[in-house]
Amino acid sequence: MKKVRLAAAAIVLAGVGIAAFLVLHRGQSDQVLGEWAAIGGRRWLLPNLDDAEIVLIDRPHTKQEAPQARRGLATIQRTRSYFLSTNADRLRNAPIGPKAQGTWRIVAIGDSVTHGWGIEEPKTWVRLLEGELRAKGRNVEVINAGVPSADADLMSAWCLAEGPRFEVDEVLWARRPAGPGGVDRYATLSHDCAAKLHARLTVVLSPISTFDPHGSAVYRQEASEVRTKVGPQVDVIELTDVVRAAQAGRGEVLEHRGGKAAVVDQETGKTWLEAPWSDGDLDPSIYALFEAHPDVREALFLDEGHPDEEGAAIIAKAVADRLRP
Amino acid sequence: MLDPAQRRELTLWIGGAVVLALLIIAAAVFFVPELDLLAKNYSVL
Repeated sequence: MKKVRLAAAAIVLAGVGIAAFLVLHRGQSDQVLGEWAAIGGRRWLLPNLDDAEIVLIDRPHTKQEAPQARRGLATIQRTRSYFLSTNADRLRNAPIGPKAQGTWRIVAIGDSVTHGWGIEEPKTWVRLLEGELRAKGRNVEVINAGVPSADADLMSAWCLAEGPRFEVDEVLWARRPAGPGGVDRYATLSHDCAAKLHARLTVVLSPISTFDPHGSAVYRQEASEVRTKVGPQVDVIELTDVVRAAQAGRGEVLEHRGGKAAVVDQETGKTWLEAPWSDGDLDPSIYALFEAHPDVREALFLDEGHPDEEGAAIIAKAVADRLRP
Repeated sequence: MLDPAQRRELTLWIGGAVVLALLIIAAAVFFVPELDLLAKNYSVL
């Protein structure tokens, strides 16, 4: 019987070992981003993903809440998912061949908004932009080089290392300035990218949700700084006012009212609640309101930073209207 | 050969050990944050 007890102990130890292995390797079997030597070991979309399902929170949320949605935790009911496929070039795009004669090839390099966070690929603003431009009779291809949480340095790394082989004519530098070096570095990197690709540069500043208090406070000043730094020869498309105009009279917005944050239903004029104003994460009562009332929703956004399908369509149209041939 | 009593004890020890090992693995899968083997979706951030 001593041997049996030893065997039993070995089985339990094996269980502990397997559990420890799983814990130590957590997150490594289900990633859609991976290090890429071509861009200096930085993380980019993995190649040849086939409908990887990504679950995200379908309402404004804190950064801490983001990972919880994936496991369907009871505290977060409002989730949505989308399916991510990539080509061999690690892009959310159909395979890209040599550029045909007469084709105007655009690359949109950006972060999650460009990637189409929460949105199926045909409804991302990048793909809709292609449709808008084709509807205007332009023979155009638009490449999506958007990666969630990409900063200007990552965009630059991809542009300089991978960009040249796609023979692009136009770079859409599609991200708001953030990260080390601020607007100066952001502007320099955007010009360096376009110069390397021998392409025209257009800057696209993604729209700010009303539920992003800090972004709402600074977006006009930020756009002004970007215009100054990139110079008058570069068109800067600020999308916040375009999207906010389209939100008028629809859904919920966050208003700064007498030092407080008010969630207002624009359709009825009802004020859902007033909470202490905060420049960072919102007051917890606001997240709780969204969680308790699925019909409380900001028009054109799925959370405090990402346009939904309808928002993406408005972005695509606004960019298509501004892009000169 | 084992007599029935020994066989029952053996079964209890080994069976108990297997159940305990599986429980430990299940606990790791279900309760460790970000260990999403059963979530069937992918992490981005």
